[in-house]
Amino acid sequence: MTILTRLEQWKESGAITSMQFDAISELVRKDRFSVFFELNALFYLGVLSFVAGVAWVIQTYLSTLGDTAILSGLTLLLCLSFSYCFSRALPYSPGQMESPNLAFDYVLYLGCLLFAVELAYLETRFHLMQSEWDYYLLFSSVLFFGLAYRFDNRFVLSLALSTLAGWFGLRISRFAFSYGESLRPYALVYGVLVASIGIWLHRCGIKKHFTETYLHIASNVLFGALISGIIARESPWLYLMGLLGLAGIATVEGIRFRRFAFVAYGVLYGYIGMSVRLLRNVRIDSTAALSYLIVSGMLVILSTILLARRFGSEE
Amino acid sequence: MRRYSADDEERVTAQFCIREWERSGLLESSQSARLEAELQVDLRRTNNFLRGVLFLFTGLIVAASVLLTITVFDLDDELLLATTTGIAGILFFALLECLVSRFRLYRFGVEEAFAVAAAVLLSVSGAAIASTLRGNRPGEFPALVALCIGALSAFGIYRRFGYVYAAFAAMICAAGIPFQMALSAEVQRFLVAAMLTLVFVVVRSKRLQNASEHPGDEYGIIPASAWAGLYFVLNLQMSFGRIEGWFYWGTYVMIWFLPIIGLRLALRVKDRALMDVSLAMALVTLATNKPYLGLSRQPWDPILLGIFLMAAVITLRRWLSKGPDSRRYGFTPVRLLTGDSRLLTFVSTASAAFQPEVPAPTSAPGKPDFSGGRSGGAGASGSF
Repeated sequence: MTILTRLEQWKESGAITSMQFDAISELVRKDRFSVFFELNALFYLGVLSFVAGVAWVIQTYLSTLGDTAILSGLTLLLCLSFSYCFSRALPYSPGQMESPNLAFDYVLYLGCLLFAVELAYLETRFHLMQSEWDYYLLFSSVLFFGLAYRFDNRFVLSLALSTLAGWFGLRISRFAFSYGESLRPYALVYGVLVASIGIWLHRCGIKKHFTETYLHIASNVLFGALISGIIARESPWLYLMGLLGLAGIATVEGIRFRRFAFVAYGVLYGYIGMSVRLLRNVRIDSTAALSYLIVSGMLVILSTILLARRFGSEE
Repeated sequence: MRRYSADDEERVTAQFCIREWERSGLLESSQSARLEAELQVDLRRTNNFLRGVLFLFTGLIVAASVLLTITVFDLDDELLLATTTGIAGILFFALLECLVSRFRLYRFGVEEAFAVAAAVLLSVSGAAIASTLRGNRPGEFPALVALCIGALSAFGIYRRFGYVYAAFAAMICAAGIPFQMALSAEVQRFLVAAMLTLVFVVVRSKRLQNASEHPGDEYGIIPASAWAGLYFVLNLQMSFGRIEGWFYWGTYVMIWFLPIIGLRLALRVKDRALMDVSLAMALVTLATNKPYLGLSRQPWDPILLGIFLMAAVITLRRWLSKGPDSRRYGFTPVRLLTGDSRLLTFVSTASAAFQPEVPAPTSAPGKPDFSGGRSGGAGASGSF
C-alpha cells in the first residue's frame, strides 16, 4: 500500500484533517519539492572555493600586487560582508533564529574567513605581534564566537571552535590519537573548556541549539587526547581511568537526553582505550588477543542489544 | 526471494515518514502516536548510532573468530584456508537467516555484519581456491574470482535483505572485474561503463514503474550510484591509468554530457539522489576541465568557481521564490521538512574539521613546538 493510499484512509477515518492531508500529500506526490539543502550546500562550497582562491592569489601574486592592493581589496570585501550582515540582521534573540535569507549565513561566514586571511597577511608582512602572533587566533575566535551568537550561525561557531583549538595548538581535522606529549594537556584543557562553555550557555538558556556542536567537538578532542595518553605509556592508568569515566558519562548522559551519538562515542572510545591498554604487550594475531576481542566484543554487543531493545528505533 | 514482506517494509517506511512529518510540524504528536500504532510491525529495529556500534562489534567478532580458527589450527595451506573461509561464510549466512527469521532483526547492525562477513569470506575462499588453480592463466586470476564471487554474493544479499549498500558493493566488485583481465585500458573502461549504464537503465526503469515509496526509494539510490560510478570511470583525471587519443577526447565529451543528462532526467521526475549526484558531477567536471585540456590551473580559478556557484544559487533561489507560492514546476527553495535542517546542522558541525587552509604567519619564534599544528580561521600550515 502506498503512503498516499494510507493518507487517504487516515483522512476518511478522521485521523488527520483535510488540511493536513493536503499539505502532506503535496509533499508525497512531490508537487512541492524542496531544494533547500542543495542550494545551501552549493553556496557553502562557493564560499570555501572563493576564500581558498583569494588565499592562493595572495600567495602567488604577493610581490606583483603589493600590500596596498591586497589589503584594500580584502578590507573592502570584509566591510561589504559585515555591513551586509549588520544591515539585514534580525534583532538578537537567545533562542533559535531563522536567517533573513539564504545568502545571509554564508556572507557572514565569508566575512569571517576573509578576516582570518587579512590578519594572517598583516602578521606575515608586518610582524605586528612578533612571537605573540598566536594571540590573533584567540582574538579571532572571540570575535567569531560573538558573531556566531549575534547572528545565530553554526558555521561561524564551528569556525570559532576550531580557531580556539588553533590557539591551544590543536588541529581538529587531525587524527586525534596522535597528540604528542607536549600537546595532550592543551587538548584536555581545550576539551573541558569547550564542554563547560557549552553546558553553561545551555543552562543560561542562550542558543541552546548550539550545545550539541560544543559537545561533539569537546568529546572527540577529549577522547582522542585520553587515548593518546594511554598509547604514550606514561601514567597510562591515569588516562585509562579518565577515559572510562568520560565514556561512562557520555553513555549515561547520551541515554538520558536521547542523544545516541554520545552513547556510540562512549562505547567505541571506551573500548578502544581499554583494548589498547590490555593488549599492549600482546601480539594482535595471538590466541589471547583474538580470544579477548571475541569475548569483549560479545559483552559489548549484549549490553548494546539490551539498550537497543529498550529504546527501539527512537532517534 | 525477499526475506521481509513488502507490507512490513512499507509500514517501516511509513513510520519513518510519520516521524518526519511530526518533527516538521505537519502532524500533532498525539496523531503521530496513533498512526504509528496502526503501523506496528514485529521487526526489531534500533537507531542508527546503536546500529553502527552493533555492526562494528559484530564485524570485529567475526574477523577475530575466523583469524582465531586459522591461528589455532595453523591453516597455512591455501586449500585449507579456502575451506575454512568458505565454511565460515556459509555459517555466517545461516546465522544471518536464523537471526532474521527467529528474532526478526531488521537493520539492527548484527545481522548486517553477518551478511557482509558472509560475502567477504566467500570471496576470500574463492580467491584462495583460484590461487591454487592459477597455473599459467593470465592476469590477476584470484582477484578476478574474488570480485566475481563478491559481486554475486553482494547482489544476492541485496535481493534477499534489501541492503542498498550491498547493491552498491556488488556494482563496485562487478566494475573491478574488467580491470583484472588482460585487456587494453580503453576496453576495460568501456566494459565497466557499459555495465554501469545497463544497471542504470534497468533499475531506473523499475523505479519509474514503481510508484510506491518502497522499494522506490532503493531504486532511486542504486541508479544514482551507477551514474556516479559511470562518471568516475569515464573521468580520466579522477582515476588511474594513462589513456590518450580518441578515447581520451571521447571521455572529455562524456564528462560534460553526463551531468547534463543526469540533471535533466532527475529534474523531470524530481529524483533527489540522481539530482545531487549530477550536481556533484558537474562541479567535478568544472574542477577537472583544465587538467583534461592540459592547461595549468590558475590561482584565480577557485575564485571564479566560487563566484559562479554563489551567483547561480542566488539567481536560482530568486527565480524559484518569485513563482506563485514560492515555487516553480514544483521546486521550492523553502525548507519543508526538518530533515533538511538536520543535514545542514551536521555539515556545519563537521565543518570545524575541514576549514579552508588559510596561510598562517611565518614569524613565530619562541613558541613551543606543538606537534598538532594550527587550524581554524587564521591558522594553518602554509605561509605567504
